[in-house]
Amino acid sequence: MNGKIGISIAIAFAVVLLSFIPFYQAFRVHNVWEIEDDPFFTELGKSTKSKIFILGGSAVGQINTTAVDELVSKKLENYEVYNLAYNGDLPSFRLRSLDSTIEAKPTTVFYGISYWSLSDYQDQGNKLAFLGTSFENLDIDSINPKATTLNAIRVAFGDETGLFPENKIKLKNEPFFFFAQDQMVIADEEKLKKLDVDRTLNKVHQNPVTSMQLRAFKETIDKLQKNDIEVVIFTVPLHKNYLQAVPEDDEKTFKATLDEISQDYGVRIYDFTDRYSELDIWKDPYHVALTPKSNIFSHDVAQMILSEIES
Amino acid sequence: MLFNSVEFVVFFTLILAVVTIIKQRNFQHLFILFASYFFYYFSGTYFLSILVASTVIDYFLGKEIFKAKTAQMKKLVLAISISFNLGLLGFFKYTNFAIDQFNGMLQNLNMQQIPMMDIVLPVGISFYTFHSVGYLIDVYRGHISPSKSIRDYAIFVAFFPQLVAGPILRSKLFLPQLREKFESSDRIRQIVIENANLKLGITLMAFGFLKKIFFADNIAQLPNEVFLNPIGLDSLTIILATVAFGIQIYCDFSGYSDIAIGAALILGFKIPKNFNKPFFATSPTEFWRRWHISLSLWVRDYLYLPLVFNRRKSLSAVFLSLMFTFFLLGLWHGAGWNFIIFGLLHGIYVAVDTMIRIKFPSLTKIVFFKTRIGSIVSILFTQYLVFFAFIAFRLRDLDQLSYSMEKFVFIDFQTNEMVGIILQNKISVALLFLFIILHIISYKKSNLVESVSNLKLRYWTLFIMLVIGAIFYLYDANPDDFIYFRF
Repeated sequence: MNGKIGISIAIAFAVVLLSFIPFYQAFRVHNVWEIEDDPFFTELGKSTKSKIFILGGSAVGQINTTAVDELVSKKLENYEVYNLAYNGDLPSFRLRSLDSTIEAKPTTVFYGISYWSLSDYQDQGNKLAFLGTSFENLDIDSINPKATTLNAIRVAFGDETGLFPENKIKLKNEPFFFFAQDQMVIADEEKLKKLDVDRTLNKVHQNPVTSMQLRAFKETIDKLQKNDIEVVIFTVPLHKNYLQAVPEDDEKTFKATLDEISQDYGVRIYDFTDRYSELDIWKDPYHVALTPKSNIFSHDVAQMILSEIES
Repeated sequence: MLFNSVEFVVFFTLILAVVTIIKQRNFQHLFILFASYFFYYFSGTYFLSILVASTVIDYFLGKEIFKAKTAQMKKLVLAISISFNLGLLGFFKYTNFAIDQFNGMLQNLNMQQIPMMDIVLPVGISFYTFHSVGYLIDVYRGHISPSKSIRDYAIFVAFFPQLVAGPILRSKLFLPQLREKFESSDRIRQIVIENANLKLGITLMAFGFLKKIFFADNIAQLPNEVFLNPIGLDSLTIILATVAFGIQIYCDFSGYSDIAIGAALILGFKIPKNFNKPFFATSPTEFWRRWHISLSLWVRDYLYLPLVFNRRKSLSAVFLSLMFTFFLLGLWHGAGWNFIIFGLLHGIYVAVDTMIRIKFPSLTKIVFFKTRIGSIVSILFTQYLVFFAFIAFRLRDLDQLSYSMEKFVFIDFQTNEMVGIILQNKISVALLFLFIILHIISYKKSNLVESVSNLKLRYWTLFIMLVIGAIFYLYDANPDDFIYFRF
């Protein structure tokens, strides 16, 4: 009987898990970095204006792209600026959509990075790779059954259910990034002190010899340059509390890596890392808030673009 | 190690497999002890050494209490052992809270403040400290003999299903189970995984997982959003979030207890139930007979009754003892003024309830309260008080707490924000109503778990499949901790 109960439990688990596979395939929620098939790229290919792309993660997403585009197109009428940032961008993710990006024919790409972009804190390997080649591309950490179920309800009944209210704001020319209310509020000092130091240390740790992200980053630059797209790198700004948590060794290694890239690929690097570290413009220690007061960052980005295009 | 994680499923399956393979009782117990220590170590703590050290010290102190020849000597050793255990708990749990209060005073006097200490609270210390203290008092009172084997005592303290979040074990109920003998001979029983226990245990665990992962984790979104900053919100929003939080914490904690009791039962250990439909309590006193039963019984037996002993006829002594007991009960939940307020509120409820029963015994005989409507009125009134106190459990910030409590009492009947909150949290609200319906059904069918467990195997499998499906399809990939892990 023990065996029968055990088999019953195994059957129950098996039925649920097996039923989930087709369900997941049909209704899975795509990861934020899966943008390569987005109609944005094909639509953009039709535009006759010269295009400037800004790439990066959430810190780049916080740039007021509308303001940047206005400032740039005021001086250079034939140019338009698009910010293709999405949450959690890493060079290895960005590589997946690089072909689509190239096909949209930008003249210049500005890639905003920081310590975490070249750190391997997320590269823990595929936990299911040992099961064989069919599982190599299955990212188990990205499977979220609840999100899949909610998406299935959305697909089945449409958004009229009202189950999926859209409280996020989207900026013009920033197709893959959304602003929630808290991203448009400047945090107080107390909130800015809340920093998970262990996680930060893990995220900023640099190892250029083994870094998969660094390899992906170099590959990205190389591929863009081979397609006659100019590449400019800028480091995103950080709050003083974050900077204090970065070990000196990692800071030196990061700078040395950027210098090496600059020399090897002939790209210019703009350093915003500590430019606003003391100012009261922060949403949290690694994101500038999207507020009129914080526009200094966006204005400087526009200035960087103008000086690069005009040079 | 969270119960709601794949690691636990693998861990528990391995435990069952190894226990089944090892036929020798001594090795089975030794294995369970080491598995429990592994479980504790895996729970993200490096405080295993404290657990082991306090186990060894308490084991020998228990023996010393038993061996002491005079009553005074017994009392002295007991005092030392309780001071040691509560000192340890106090150091880890309350030092920074005490420094913070002291700094408040120093600030008023313009004096230099004391720096906070870098202390991390060991997981489960509040629970295993109470295991040990209860054991030592039982030995002192002569209710039990001290454990003959340090291994048995260590299992009692560290038994993995209840180690980090209870239920709080009583030595006189648990220790004899480790030395249970065969009916036919004098040999001590080995652990045998019996069919009935396995089926009932799995059913209990399934209900526990359902409460935690399906209900608690999905309902949590609503109170989390509202209580992030409740100031400025209307009364009905605060009430809705409070009800959601009360149900969330019930599902979270009673779910944990169900999993713990079910896991223990599969291994052949009986742990009394920790919750008995508390939302149907008709008085605050009854609420504590249904909510976190192992804690309320512990507090009653080892704190309240000794306090009130010989003074039961003095109303003021009863009142003050109850207030003091609930003050400590609140403080046990956490080092914060909100927890003290939570305890004191319940102290007032239970003390006033007790006073009324003593002073006006005729009130309890009023026919209305024995009718269906009378019971419903009693339940609603009791739950209003209970949920009011839950606000203090949830909000640490005293400004937010006082605002929310005021809105809970003085209802403004505004609905603007509430509509928005409901629209944004439809899943949470739907699950809230589903829980209320299922809770009423389970109240009417008092032995629901047993009924399900007694189903024919194919129907039972179907039930388990439905539960796993419900849990899995609404499982958020980032599981939350159990709330009581923090204590």
